[in-house]
Amino acid sequence: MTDDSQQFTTMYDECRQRVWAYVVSQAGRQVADEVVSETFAIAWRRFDDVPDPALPWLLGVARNVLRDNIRAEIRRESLAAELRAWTEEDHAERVAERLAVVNALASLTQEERELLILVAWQGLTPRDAARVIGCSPAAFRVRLHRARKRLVQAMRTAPVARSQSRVRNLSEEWS
Amino acid sequence: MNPMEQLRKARPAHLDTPVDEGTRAAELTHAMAQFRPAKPARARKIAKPVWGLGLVGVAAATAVAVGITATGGTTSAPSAPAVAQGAQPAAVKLSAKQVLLVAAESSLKAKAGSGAYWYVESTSGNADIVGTKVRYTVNSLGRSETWIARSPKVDSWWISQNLGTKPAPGSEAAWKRDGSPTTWSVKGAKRGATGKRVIDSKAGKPFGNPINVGDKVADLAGKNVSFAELQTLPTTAAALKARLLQGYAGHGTESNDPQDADAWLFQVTSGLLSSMPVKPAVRAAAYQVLAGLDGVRSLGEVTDALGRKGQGIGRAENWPNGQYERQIIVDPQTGVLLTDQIVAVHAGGQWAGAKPGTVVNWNAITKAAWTDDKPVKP
Repeated sequence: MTDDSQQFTTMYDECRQRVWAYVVSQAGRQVADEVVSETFAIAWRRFDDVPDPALPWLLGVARNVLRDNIRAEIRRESLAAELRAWTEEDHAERVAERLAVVNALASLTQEERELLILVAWQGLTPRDAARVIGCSPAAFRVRLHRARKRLVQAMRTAPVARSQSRVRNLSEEWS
Repeated sequence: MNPMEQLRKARPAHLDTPVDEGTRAAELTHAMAQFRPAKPARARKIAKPVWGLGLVGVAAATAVAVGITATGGTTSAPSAPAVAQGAQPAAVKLSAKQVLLVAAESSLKAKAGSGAYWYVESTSGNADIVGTKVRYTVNSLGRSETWIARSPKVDSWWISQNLGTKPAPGSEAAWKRDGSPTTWSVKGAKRGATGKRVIDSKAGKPFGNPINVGDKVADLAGKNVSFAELQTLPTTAAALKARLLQGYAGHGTESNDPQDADAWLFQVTSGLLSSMPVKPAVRAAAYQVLAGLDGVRSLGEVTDALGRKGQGIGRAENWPNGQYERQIIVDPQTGVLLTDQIVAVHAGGQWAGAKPGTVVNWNAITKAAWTDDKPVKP
């Protein structure tokens, strides 16, 4: 009991930023702090259930908090702003290539984008990523393969100019 | 280049922005202000089976409760210094076994419920020892609603709200001498300067979450169980105890602190009685399980944090951060468990400085009933 607050703080310090980055990539900065705060509140309440490593579990909780506590409309607006920021972020090196990738990512469906981000940006193994979204590792691999193909396609075909309209169209993908 | 590699390199740099100290402190405080249903550590081995008090015992205990003067008031010797805060010795103090067996008997009078949800409302408190000029106790308060759905097709919900932090009863004067602060800083025990936690007196807004995982709706003795499983729990003490102890066999990810089987059972069984949708006969069996445990003592009449009177039952617990007593406060006439709480005996760690008798953590059940109402989601 005595060690719990220390262990919890350690877990928080290890994982907080990655949970935040995941939420930002799913729904933007505007809602991220609120979702992260509630995610760790749940983690404290259920600290005995938190597995080691904690990150996939925390991401799964954050995903549910996002879905249940933030109105779809707000998630949509916040994410649209976020995706615009990605394409506007100033990168001196290989700007064109980066833009192509980010625009392609923005043109995918919410689900495809999430799978790719969990693996490429969060660095999760397919097994851990499957745990986050609640499917089997086998199903995850199939979906990831498909999302990857769609990304490559989009990188080849999506001209940079399309990105803004794609971003706006995101609203149709949320339910 | 591999597209995944390209994607990796396109990761926006600002996703690595570190959290600022203020946000970190606020988030840690918010998290740790949540009431945490305490879950027992797994003990190393199961102690001897102890249930042995038969019907005669129940009958005798009932007789005492209905008013026949008790002559053999077998108050068990306190296993810890007297710690029941506000405990007033009752005119006739019943033994722990008597109180629990009366509660068992009374539980059988309740009707088995119907309703779409089992609804539990509770308020909780967690103490911190604070203060710069003087040391005193503040309580971080919270409330929660649990909605456990009868149907496996319906989500079960948990709604919680941080009700803010205020000086504990008896600490108001010290708080004023300290300058009536509205935030307090407490040190994390071993993390030194970086372990600082800021407690805010402000309340928060309610949050809600579905709590079921598939058809599993509750954590019973370390295992997730469905509503149907809760409804089919054994109705005899021996069988219920055996069933609960199953949750304690394998090895898991829980605390490594050793805890003897009776302490574990006391906690788990109290948890069942305070919040789970089970049949009246199962509640009766649960009280009988408690009555059969070694080391339970009667505290006599005790007032809980909400000012409600009941019979207190305590059991000493040794933790790495000190000695405490786990107490439950029950109404023997209805079999309702009003409050479970942890009281400082020789407190250390995060509760160092808490005077013996300080209730350092409590959860008071204010409502537990079947309903056809639907959860009102915040």
